Amino acid sequence: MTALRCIAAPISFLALERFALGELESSRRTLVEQHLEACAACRAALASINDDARALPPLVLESAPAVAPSKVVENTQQTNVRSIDSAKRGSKNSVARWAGSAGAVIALAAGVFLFVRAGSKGDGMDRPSYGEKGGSVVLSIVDEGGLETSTFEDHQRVQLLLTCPQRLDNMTWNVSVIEDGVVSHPVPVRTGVACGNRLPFGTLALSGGEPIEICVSASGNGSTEEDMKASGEDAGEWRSCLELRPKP
Amino acid sequence: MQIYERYGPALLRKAQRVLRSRSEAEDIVQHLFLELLETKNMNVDLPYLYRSVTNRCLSRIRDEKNRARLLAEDGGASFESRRADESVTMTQDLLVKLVAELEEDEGQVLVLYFFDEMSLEEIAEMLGVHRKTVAKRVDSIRTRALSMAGGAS
Ligand SMILES: [Zn+2]
Repeated sequence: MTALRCIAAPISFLALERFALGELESSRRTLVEQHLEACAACRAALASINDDARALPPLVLESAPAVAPSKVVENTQQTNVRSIDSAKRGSKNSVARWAGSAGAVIALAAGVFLFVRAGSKGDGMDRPSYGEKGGSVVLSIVDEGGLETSTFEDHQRVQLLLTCPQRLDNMTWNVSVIEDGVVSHPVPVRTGVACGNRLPFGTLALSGGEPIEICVSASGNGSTEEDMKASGEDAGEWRSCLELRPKP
Repeated sequence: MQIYERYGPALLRKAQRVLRSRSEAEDIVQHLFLELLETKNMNVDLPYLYRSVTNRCLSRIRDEKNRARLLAEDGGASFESRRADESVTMTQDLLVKLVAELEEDEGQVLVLYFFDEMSLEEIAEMLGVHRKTVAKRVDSIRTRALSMAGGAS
């Protein structure tokens, strides 16, 4: 492809996109039109926008909002909401960076507790079975066809479903993903959840070849894990973890 | 979702311009909109979303796994600038190396100026800083880019 050069300062792709969408105010629009008339390079850039016929990938929407809007501070979102892809890291540096952002999440989302299972593989702890159990928190993971899964392919998208008993209404819920001992929080913290069966809780794109542990946990009404223990409650009932393995 | 249909294609093109990968671009844009849905934040315009996608692209490039992929698969591929007087040829290799060295706000300027081809004024408005600040950042990025490109070959 021969590179076309602009006759002056190029019309930015943002301005061209807005031009194509009819969003530019009239004076700016006129300037863009005049430039385009004279400039083949910017006409070609606009044509690449108008000729882009690729389909928009479907957005895996969560149906009925059984869950109240989350109150994620903008800053929290910047630091804690990442895809699993970007959470997959190897070096010590990046692990430290992630530990740092996990800390920020805890500080901002008051009452959310975090747990890291050292080396998420085969540590001998009991894991909840798939499906629903009365009276406790159960996390289910389904593929795009809605079928429960415990394995994933590279770049596969899965949906998280939360089942929780009514006594845990209005808690704050947090999803943690643990991979190689590194915790990330790819789904915004949820508050004011009305509990029920298999509530849509978020969608994740999974990648890489290592097992991933996904945990959902509740906290709220000012109580901490310590408070729960003090009141005789089993903190384990407030959370559920599942391990997903890459498809061989 | 209306804003997804309206702005999704523009954001996919933007992310792909920077990352050179359609699947990475789709992943970034889908995550962005799912988060907007979850926070019920629908009152957003294209400049806001552009900035959001910029930050997400930078995170991807900083991620080691992607860094390796970008370098291995498409390292020499260059972005065709429309600026007649631009001395920097922005290749994937150069982008990855620059992003690793730059501060977050410089990284934003790098993407907005060299890939989105925004003017200094447009960038200043988007980032809420003075035009002069943007000009300085562009100069500093260009100096580094030229010395990196010179040193590498
Ligand atoms: Zn032009």
